[in-house]
Amino acid sequence: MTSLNKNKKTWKELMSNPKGLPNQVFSNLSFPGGTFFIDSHTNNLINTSTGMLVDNESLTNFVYAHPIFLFNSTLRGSGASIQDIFDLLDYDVNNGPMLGQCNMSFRSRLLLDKEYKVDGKIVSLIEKESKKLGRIKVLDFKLALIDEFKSKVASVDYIWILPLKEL
Amino acid sequence: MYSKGSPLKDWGFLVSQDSMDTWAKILDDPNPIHLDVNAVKLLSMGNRTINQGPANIAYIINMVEKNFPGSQIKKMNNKMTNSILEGDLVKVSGQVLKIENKEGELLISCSIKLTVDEERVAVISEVDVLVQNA
Repeated sequence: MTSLNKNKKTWKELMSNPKGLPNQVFSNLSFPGGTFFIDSHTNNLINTSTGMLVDNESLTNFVYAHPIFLFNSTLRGSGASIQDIFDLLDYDVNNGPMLGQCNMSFRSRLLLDKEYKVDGKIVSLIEKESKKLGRIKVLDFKLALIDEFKSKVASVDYIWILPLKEL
Repeated sequence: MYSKGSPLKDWGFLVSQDSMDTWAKILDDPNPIHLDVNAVKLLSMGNRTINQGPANIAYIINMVEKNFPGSQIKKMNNKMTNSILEGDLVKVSGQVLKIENKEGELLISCSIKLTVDEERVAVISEVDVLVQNA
């Protein structure tokens, strides 16, 4: 382990005073981690709010969750909400952050009425110039769902675009 | 039966403010650009609220499910290229790029896009889906 890693602060430590931290401090920072329960009620909300008519006579619809659950289960079960992430980065949500990319992979289907462990880390936070948006930060982080056998069920790599307010 | 180059069946949805309000709760996401048109105007981002990114991805997943009922998505790479706005009628379309035989199952790779008015491409996806080989 390098001295840099030894001195690396945790999410909780950084959250205690997130003002003015350099972008590099967030590289490889582990999320607090947590769990997420995939419930049938939210699954129904997802289906109805995206125009998906569910066949109530199909048994699979009572077993498997909508795959987009990978998105909200990882974000909501990571131990940090979207707002927490922006707070950590000292980023004002009123600047209009946007999801740029979302790359998902599944080893197996997500199950309804089941709890998964969630963990992951921030890959990088870099600042750059966008032709369309001006000065931006690009946040790259990965999260995974782990089952009770400690097997990774699915993972997702998020890239968020964070427009910066012009000074 | 699908083969390389086959078009997938299109899928459509009218995006409402109600569905965005629901997604804000699902995601626990307070971002005002999804909820308050005044916030959108204040940020010079247009005159309509902006749909949540994961909802856009969910439309693509729904289209995959309609084309391959009971299938399993193995990989899905999504690039968000434009916004979907409140009141947009979105269309999901695509085609089969490749089919691989995997011990009684087929791994079908597809190129899919989410568009509005044929011109505005909001999401470009590459999806690998595992289906039973009938």
